[in-house]
Amino acid sequence: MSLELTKGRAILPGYSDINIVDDLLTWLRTTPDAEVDLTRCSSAHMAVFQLLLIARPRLVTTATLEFERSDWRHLLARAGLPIALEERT
Amino acid sequence: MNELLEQFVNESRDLIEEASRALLSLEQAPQDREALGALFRCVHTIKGASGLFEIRPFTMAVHAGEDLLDAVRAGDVRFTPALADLLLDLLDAVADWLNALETSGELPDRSDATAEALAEALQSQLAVGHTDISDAVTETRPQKVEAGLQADLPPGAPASLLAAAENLSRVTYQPDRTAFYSGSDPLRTVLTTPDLRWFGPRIPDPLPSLETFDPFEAVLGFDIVTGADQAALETHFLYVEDQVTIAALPGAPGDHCTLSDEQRNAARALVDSQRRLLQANAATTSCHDAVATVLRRIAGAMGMPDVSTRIAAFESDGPQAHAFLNDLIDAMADRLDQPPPLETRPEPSISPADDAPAPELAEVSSAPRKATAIRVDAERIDQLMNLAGELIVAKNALPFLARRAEEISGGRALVREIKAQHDAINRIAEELQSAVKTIRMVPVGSVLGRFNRLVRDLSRKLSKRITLEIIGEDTEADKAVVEELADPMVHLIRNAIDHGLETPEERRNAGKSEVGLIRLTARQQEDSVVIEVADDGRGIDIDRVKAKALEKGVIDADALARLSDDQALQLILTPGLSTREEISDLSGRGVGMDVVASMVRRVGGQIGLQSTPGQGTTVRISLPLSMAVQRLMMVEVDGGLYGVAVEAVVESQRLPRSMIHRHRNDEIAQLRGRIIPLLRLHELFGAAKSEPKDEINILVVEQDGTEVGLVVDRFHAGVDVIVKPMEGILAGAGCYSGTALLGDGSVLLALDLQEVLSCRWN
Repeated sequence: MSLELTKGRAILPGYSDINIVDDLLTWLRTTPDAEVDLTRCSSAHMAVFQLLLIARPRLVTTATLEFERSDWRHLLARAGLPIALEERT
Repeated sequence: MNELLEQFVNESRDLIEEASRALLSLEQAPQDREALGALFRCVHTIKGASGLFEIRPFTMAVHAGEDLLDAVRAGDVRFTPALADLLLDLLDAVADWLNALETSGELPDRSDATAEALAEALQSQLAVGHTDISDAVTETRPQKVEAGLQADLPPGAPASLLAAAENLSRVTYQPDRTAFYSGSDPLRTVLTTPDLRWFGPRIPDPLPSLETFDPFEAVLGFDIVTGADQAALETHFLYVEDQVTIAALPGAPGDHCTLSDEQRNAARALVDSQRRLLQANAATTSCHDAVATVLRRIAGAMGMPDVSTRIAAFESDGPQAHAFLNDLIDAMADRLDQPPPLETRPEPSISPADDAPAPELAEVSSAPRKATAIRVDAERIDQLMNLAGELIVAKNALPFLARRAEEISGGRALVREIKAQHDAINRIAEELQSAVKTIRMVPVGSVLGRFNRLVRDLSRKLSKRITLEIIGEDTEADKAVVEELADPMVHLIRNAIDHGLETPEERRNAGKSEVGLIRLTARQQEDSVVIEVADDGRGIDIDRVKAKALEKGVIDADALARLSDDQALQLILTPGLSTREEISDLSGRGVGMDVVASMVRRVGGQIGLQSTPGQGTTVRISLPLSMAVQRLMMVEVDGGLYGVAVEAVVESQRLPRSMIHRHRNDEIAQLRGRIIPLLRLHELFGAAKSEPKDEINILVVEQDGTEVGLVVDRFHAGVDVIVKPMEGILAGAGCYSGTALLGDGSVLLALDLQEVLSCRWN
């Protein structure tokens, strides 16, 4: 599974490795009101994490991002990134 | 000593010198950003390089220095004379350690303790400095504190973590900016921390903007709270140990910690400094905040939960703030003056703590080191070499002067005197030149050693098993010559491995060992350094070389018929000839041996090949030991003087016309059983035809294994000259390698034999 970039939404793959940051960065730079879908993404490289922290896109998830020891996504919520909860489809 | 360590020692010494200079100029002008930058870079470089060796105390101390300088650069800590003293102590200690490393390859026995003391002293400056600058206090403003013991928890971590009285550690992990390039993922390292209780990012302020952000640069750090013990944490962060700090969090209320006398004194000094700070900045809120922060940290480190709790309730802009802080300072100072409680507990910091008494910095020995080697800018040596060369050329004027003196009547005595002076100056000039030459001499091994990696990589890529043998690495040659060697050698080795050596299977079938051999040999031969690249591969198929040469029109059938096999082999060195059918991505189309040959000739060298089918090929490069001054043999053609490199001259002969024969359009001479083609320079230079003479002068030269007789008018003496390449519109003139100035002011044209011969035969 790889990074999917649609008109206003980027869907991160299950493991978002460093190879996607270049594309994601270019997309974030050129996409106003960008949404990044974390639904599938359970783990990511630090490069992806820090890119999201800097770009501060709206995050799309199916669960609230609360602290869990082995998960990193709650850090984004704690950093105040806007979150849109979506029903799991 | 290990070569890498030797290089580290030498370079670090230079860096220490540079750092000392920068430090001293910083003392004069603390605002000098450039000096500060230079100082930081030096310390940073030493730290980085020290990580390659097993010298932990060294790295630890320098690291602490780097942290401090980083804080100074960021404006968090003010540069003070006391700080300069400490940094100079650090540099002195490092210099001593380098001496020890040079002599024994190890750090001295007490380096652990010295390094610790240094690191502690440097770190304490970091804490003091933070409070010195009121601008920085907003960053250290205390978080809203709910309970006293939360003081040392990372910002944002819940106080409940400390509710249970257990030993927790706080890990601060700041990955290198280039961490991603080494393939590491710091986030993963954080997530897999043993017994991870909490973690959060350390976000730089300001964050890079999205427009300028480099996504491959690690900008975040992490704060981690973990219940794992020190050993487990050290193992987990082993590969990034220079990027993490591990500190124990204070335990549950009621715990006490003991401080060593030194720590107690340091804490006392800190408390006192806060008192002075309050006195100096009585009214400001930010000053109150800063003092409260420092006191809170001291209380946390010393296990004074009650103090921490009091500070937590403190309001920095309240009317009683000043008095409150003063009272607190008094109370803490009293506590620090009391003898330590008997109850003991491990040190609050789990950084290595030695039971040995803390060392005095003064113990760092400062015995002067005798300078055995100095590093000199290569440009200065080049300048010296040029001057020595000019001197040699200038002294060439004396024989001309002597000749003119001879023309004056009664000048005999003067001539003798001039000749005697010439001899003396000649001797000194030559000694001077050879002395300068030896300065520039470097072992060829510095280039040959690089090829280990190349051979290893190529053998993997081509699935060939190869042994690389290097002989005569100590052979010395001029630095410039050695540098010129690298490129042609890479091509030759690639060719040998790609085209020369067979696959293991082919070798087995040929009854050879599966492991191929590449042998690099260097030796000095008279005024040249000879390098051979030999392989024990399939050898060169001479019939195919000949066929290709004919097919490509490199040579005509007649000329080819006259060549011996050995001479025909040298055709490989001519442009446009390649015998390999397929093009490999490795060396292209036999990577033009002609390119290699022209590289070698450009620096005045010669190249030749030998090959035995089935047994291997040897390429032999001979380069002048030095490229600055050349010895040329002077010949005269139509009144003009030309120079031929002495190394190329085989002999000079005066032959009767009867010994000159004509074969079709070419003249040849028979000389002691050898047939030597003749080249009349008169014709080549388009000079007026001279009267036929009974005898002709022939200068026999050898170029790439082929002998040719140059027909000239007259022979002159040999001369040492500096050949300057042609410039401007003459740059493209073939046949000449350059010009040289003679003692009488006239200009000598140095011949490029390779070009001369190719002009003639093509």
